[in-house]
Amino acid sequence: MRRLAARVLPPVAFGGLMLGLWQLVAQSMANPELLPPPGLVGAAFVDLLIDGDMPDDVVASLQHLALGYGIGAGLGLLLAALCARFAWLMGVLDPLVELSRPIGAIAWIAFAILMFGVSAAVPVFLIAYGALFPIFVTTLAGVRGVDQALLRAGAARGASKRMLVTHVVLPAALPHILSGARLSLGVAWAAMIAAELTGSDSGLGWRLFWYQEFFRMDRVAAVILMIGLLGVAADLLLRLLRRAVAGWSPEDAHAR
Amino acid sequence: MRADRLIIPALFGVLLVLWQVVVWQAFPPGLVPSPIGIVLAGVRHVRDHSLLTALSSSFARVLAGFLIAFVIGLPLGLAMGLVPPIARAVAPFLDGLRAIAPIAWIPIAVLWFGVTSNAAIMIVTYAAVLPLALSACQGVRLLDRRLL
Repeated sequence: MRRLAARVLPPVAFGGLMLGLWQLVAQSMANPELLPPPGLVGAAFVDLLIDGDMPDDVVASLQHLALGYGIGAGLGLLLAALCARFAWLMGVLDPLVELSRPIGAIAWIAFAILMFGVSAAVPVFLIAYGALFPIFVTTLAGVRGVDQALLRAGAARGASKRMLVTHVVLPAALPHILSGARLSLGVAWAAMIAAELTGSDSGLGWRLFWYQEFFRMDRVAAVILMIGLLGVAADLLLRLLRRAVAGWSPEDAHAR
Repeated sequence: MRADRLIIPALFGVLLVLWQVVVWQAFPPGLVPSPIGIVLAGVRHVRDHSLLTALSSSFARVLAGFLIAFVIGLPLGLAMGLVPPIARAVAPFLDGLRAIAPIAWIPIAVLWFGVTSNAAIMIVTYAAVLPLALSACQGVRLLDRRLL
């Protein structure tokens, strides 16, 4: 009970303090539109959620994310597996990856719009681009970092090549793959907002600028709040998945 | 080994030539950039100093935003690392902020500062402050006690 209090009390107190500060600053503003007070933002949030556009925007964003992340992370995994298997492919892909990886997904927005027009395809493409690299790099590192002694031990006990892959390499690389999946999701989330802002006609990011056009700052803040909440929820989901399937790994304790 | 080293650059060369040819043949001029066009545009922008001007104003913004982030993030991170209750109080909010891409704050930044350098500096500061604080906190926590 006391430990629970020690866990819950500080964030609640800090949150209260920040809300109070926000309220105070908002009240002292000459123009309330410059910083909508927390009450107004909360009301806008509830209003948008219950009979506003928020549910549609959330569904649209999650559709972009699911499709883009599925393509990007799936491709990253596949390429990493192929690179681990075929060294020549690694030679071809490595310079390409190192060249494209530092170019943020955002930098491709203009191209994506040129290629696809302003549509859902722009966020999907950019999310896929952003999600591809983290999972590719970590998976490859995980597969390559497999303890050679374990492989030799498996081989000495007569395991086939296939068994070595499914029973040694995959479990050993799993924690890396999952932390790569988490990194990818973070990048994908940011790419989604950026792409929707400029290149899409649906989703939370698009709605953000929509409300800015109408100068509804309370609604802008409400959408930002929703972006934060959903992002935390998605990250939490992956962390739980990781604990469920790779909780045994010593690296997992490190990454929590 | 020798052949390997040659094959990969050759492959990239072929890709570049292919790109150039496809752009020449399949698209109306000016719509899709080609490798030669990119190089020419680069030379042009270096010649008329527009690239340098753009670079220097970008660097100035990054530097300013980073310095502000340093002043905010470092004390915050150190405090979080040294005083666990502070970390417990702040962590959920930092996690929440981390999920909000810097871009999402652009409407607010433009509202407060207008379309100016300061709006850009605010976004840079926001983007830099979170990793700074979290790494500083992590650094203090992982500090080897024996050194103290």
